[in-house]
Amino acid sequence: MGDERLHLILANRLEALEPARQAMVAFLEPAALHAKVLFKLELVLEEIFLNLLWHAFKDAAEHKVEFTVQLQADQVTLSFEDDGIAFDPTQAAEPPIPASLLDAPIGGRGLKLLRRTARSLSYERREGRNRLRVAVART
Amino acid sequence: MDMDVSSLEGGITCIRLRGRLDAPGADSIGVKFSAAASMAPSRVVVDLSGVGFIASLGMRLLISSARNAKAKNGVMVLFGATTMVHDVLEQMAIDQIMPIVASEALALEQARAPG
Repeated sequence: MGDERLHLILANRLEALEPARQAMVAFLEPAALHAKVLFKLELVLEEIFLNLLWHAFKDAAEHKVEFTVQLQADQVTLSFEDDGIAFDPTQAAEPPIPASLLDAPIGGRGLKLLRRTARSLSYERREGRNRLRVAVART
Repeated sequence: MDMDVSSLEGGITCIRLRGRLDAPGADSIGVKFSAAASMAPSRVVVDLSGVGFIASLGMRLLISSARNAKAKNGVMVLFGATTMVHDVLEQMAIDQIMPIVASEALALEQARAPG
């Protein structure tokens, strides 16, 4: 039995996030995944997509992000492909844990959240495009 | 994302959230939430029992408002988080920088305690 896939092309706009989430949830619905697994997948989608919106594109033009959901026997893999500036989240440094609320940065948690949530992360830069794959365990 | 604000005895502001504290959710309540959380004397309890999802932008909103409250010698206490939301807050060590308690009674107790 082959893997099942959902493939979407998303515009680099915040409004594209919710329809993409809903499409992912609808696609995965027959698999009856545990709510915790769905939560993790939604986290991964949101953190990566927001990171792309804020950091990947330096011009005002519309860019396309290819988003694929792959349902496998023991995991779900989310893939993102874009023509933004090169960024490897597997190598980027995490901010340190703050000692107090007033020391705590307001933002900058997305990468840490992504790493805590994913079973595996892989990145490659090929032909001027970022290709990021994030696997989340089904159990 | 729905948000309900009420004033409780002792100058405590209670903010009840319902929905998803994702990017669109945080965006939709951001200004209102920050304003409610900074109402003097900035002693705020936040009911998360109706929040089914949180991501980094939602945490950003909670942290920035908690910092504002703290800077005014106030406090923000979170309570009632569902297991999944609580797990994420803990993973991100949010519980190390602001109080997260199980019940409204405990939250009110902490919010009333002198800073």
